[in-house]
Amino acid sequence: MDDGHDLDDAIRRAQAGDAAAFDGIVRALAWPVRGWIVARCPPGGDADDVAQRTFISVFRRLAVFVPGSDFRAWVFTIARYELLAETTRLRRIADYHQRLAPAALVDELARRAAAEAPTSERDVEHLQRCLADLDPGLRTLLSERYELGLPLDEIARRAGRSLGAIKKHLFQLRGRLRACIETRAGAERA
Amino acid sequence: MTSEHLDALWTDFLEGDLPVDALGELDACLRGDAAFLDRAVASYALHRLLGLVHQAGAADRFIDSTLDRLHADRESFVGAVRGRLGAPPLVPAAPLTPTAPQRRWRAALAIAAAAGLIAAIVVARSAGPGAAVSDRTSPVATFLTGDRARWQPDVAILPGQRLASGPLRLGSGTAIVQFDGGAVVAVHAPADLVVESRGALRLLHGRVGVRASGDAAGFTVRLPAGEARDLGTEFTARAELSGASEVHVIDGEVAWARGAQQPPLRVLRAGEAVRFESPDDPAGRPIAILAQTVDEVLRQIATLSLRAQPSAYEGFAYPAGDLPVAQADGGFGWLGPWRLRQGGEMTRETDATSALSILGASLDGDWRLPPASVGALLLPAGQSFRLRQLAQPVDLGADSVVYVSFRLRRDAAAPPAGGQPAFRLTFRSAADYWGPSLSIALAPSRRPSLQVRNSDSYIGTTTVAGGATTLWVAKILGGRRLPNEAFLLVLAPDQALPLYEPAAWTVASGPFQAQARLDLAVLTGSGPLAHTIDELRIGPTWDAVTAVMAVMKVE
Repeated sequence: MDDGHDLDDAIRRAQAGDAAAFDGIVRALAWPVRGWIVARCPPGGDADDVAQRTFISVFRRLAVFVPGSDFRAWVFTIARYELLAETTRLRRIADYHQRLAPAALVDELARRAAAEAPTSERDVEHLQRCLADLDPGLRTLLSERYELGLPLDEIARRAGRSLGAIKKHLFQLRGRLRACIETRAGAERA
Repeated sequence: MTSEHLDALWTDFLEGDLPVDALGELDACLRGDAAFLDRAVASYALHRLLGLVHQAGAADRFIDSTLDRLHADRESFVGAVRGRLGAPPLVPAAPLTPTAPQRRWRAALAIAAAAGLIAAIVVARSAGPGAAVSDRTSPVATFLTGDRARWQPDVAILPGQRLASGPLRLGSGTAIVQFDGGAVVAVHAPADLVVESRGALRLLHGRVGVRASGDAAGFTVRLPAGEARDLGTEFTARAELSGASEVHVIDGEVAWARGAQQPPLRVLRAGEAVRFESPDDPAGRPIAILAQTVDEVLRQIATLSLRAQPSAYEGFAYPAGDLPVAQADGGFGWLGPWRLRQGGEMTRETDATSALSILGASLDGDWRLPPASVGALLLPAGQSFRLRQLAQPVDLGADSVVYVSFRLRRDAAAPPAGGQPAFRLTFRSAADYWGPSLSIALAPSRRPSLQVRNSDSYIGTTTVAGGATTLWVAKILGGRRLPNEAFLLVLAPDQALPLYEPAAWTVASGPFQAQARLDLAVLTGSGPLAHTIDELRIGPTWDAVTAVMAVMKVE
């Protein structure tokens, strides 16, 4: 499902009773919905469960979706409400999460989820393109950190560098990727 | 504060290296610097997205899992609503076929609108029990064991059960409580105390013995006449109803202060015992020392108590070689033999073999815990899924404590190729296979982990050496009054097995909430390296899964 026409078609077919079409909708929107939720879900939150509940909620409400209106925006609105519900759940066990993450971060994530329209659902796509542009050595570093989950001291040992240097390198690399995503998003808006 | 320092704090947080006691500093920095908070939120989002895009295989699993959940929801949703409307049931559990989908799908959508009102009522009703969740407070200590311990009012506290902040009254017997800060406290009845935090208790009346060595130093016992702050030691504290308080230092040093936030008035040294009549008696007077250590109390309890047995055991005591799963019905505490996945349990991943590969020797290590039977299960390279139903489920919705232990070895072969090696012991529900679950896992990174609800992963910081046999002990807490929690300890072959559960585990999930009766044990091996598992035990206490036992084979 590569473009909006395919998605529109899937929505129409799903509303007409084609179950397989809804599966296609899940496949088409899984990345952007998960990406949007994962980036905003507080530490300790169950981001994938929120994403799944979003799709179930979308399915249950599909009959009331107005064809021709912005389906993505509608899905992300549901995602936002599911995320706020998760944030509320986490606040109920706030004592624990105050030991897990700074409360200021959790509060700010909740504030933004409640206040901001989901405008950055293509972050995952932008990030994947930015990663593809990186030197292989940098991609390896990120893979060791995020794919293999190696301890930082092990990454440092492999690279023959100090732990502090690896931390700083990762910090700078994340900054560079953030700038790349913003540039791509800006170009898209323009 | 320099931006370099802020960035270093933030980086340590993202990398999991920020000490818990530095969270407050980071929090204050974030609150006081809007630009820093903005950077931090953006950095956090990117960090999480990097984690997402680097778990490529997880994307397929997410979609499969979502569609499974959606299909299950579709069936139960439509069925439930039709039942409420008095409509005849749909063809039970029939898969969607090319000739049927439109009718079934339309039925779902047509009923959805009518069900909206019903769903709203269900949600509104469920808000009641949901609100009760907020009454749960975070646990800060664990009841380890006791000798005829009887709490008042008459409540049953199971060994291993967690304790939240609040008052406790021990009417009779002796209880051992381990605080999350590491201090182990022997409470002797009759005693009234208040568990205040992971590093402090208030003793209103009675006697407690405290061992707070190493990282537990700083543990505080608040007494009517003042407070005793541990400086890395072992001591006994007594409180009388009159307000008189005693401190007996068995080892190390204890600082005595008039109260919280007050500077110490004096330091009591090993062998010193002092009685303070009131807060106005800062000098106190020397008395004869009570020198019973916590270890002595523990030994006494071990001697007097009956040791619990595992509720389920599998030693893989089968003839060496390939064994049809249906013939693998040894051990005890199971409903039937091992089996392969079936029906809706299947995924795209297929089993490399359909038999159980039994090794003729057991896995062993230097834990003073010899295997109870000969044999071990080999999960060869490739995908292996082996399931067996427990007679006694792990009930996450009840106040329960379940311990699990097993030995595990991942073959050493570096570098791995053709995928990432992984092992999991997952507890699932036979009735809701893709519903809530809890996994004890050895991740591709060689780090032990816990995974709850198919999604939240808690990964340890230590790695497991390839080729080494390790002993795994997990604790799973069901939660009605307190949240669920899970803990995992992994011991290398040369590490000593503690006599009782540790305060510091290899992995701890932190509180979570789940309602499920998990009655399936699912062993999974995947990737290019073989895994061998042995001596799987499930039981109600630490002792039940870590003590030397004789096999009680149930024919």
